Amino acid sequence: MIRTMSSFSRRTRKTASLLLAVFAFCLIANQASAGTRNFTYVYETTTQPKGAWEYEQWVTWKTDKDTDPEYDRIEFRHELEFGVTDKFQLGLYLSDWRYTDGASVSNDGTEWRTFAIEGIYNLTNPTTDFLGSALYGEFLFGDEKLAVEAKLLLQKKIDNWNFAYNLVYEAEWEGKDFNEEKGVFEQTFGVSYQINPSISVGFEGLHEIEYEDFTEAGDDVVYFGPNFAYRSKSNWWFTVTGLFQATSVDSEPNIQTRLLVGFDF
Amino acid sequence: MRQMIHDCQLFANRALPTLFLVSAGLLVSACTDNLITRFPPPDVALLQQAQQADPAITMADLDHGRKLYLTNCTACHSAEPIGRYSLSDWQVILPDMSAESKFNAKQGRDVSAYVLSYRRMLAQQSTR
Repeated sequence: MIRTMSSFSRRTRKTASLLLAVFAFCLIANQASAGTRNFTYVYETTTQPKGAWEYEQWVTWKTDKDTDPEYDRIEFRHELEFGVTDKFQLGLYLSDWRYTDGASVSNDGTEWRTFAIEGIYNLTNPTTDFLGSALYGEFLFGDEKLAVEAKLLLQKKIDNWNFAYNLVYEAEWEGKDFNEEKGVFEQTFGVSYQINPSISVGFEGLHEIEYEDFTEAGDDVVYFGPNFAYRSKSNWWFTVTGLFQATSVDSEPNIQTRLLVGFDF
Repeated sequence: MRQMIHDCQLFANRALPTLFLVSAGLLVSACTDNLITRFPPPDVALLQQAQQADPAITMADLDHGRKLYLTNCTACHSAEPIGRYSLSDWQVILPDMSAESKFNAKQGRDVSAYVLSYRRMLAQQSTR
């Protein structure tokens, strides 16, 4: 099955995924908004209501490594979410692709990466229960890359405050024979304050360790930074976060910024 | 500078997740009491208020409406204090929000019954 998927040409997959993304965008009607994300690196525990659709456009810019100050990577992700029930949502990452440039980059330019499918199941409510919780699972596949990711999502909402924490583990297989193995352990957390029903501000943090061959631990990388979320009175919203590296891992970017724009229909 | 970064790294690795969970735990009881105060469970007085507008409303419908308000509505924003908006504002807000939340007819009716009845009671209490 792995070899069959890899046999489709890269151009065909890239074209198909972009067409799917455009088609999904065109389906957007001016319906009222069903969801807003207050964080870009942290998932919240609530899901889309049953029958609701949402398109999310992700753009992540990573830049400035100590080993390569000219380093730039811009990642694009097109996601379509659907509320299967009031507690379970499915997400399709129609296409993940990126542009990379820098002195340390051997093959700079645009590169299509992967498709992915994700599911989130809500267990408890962040407002009325002791602690909001949800389970997240994702399967990702692309050109010479397979990955499985699991997350425990925790959240608590108190008055206008919103606290969220994710515990993440990802297993990746890359290369022609998928024999390059890597595990990733990650924690993300965020705090957000709702100034009014349209605007929230806060900050997010990220901590990540990679394990080559699932055994050899790499450096701890930690980022912190502010975020801003806006929810319109119609069917769209956006959230933006800027993260700055708090550790001193030369091979990782010192700055990364993520923008999410959502359209509900 | 290097020591500061190292200390920051240690703190981030070990303390912050625990700190977050402990803080959330310490705030829970206050939160629970706050919810009951700000969004009281329906009682006989609220039911009588609701039945003036819709005689078919039951206590279970009001309880259902309260639950929907505190769970579904807070998926996108915090639980707005009901007294923050006027009755006429709520009569505009509720149909829009019900559509956003993909409520069916009964869900929309129940959440409206709870919010509007409680808002009317707040208005009556303020004029006494």
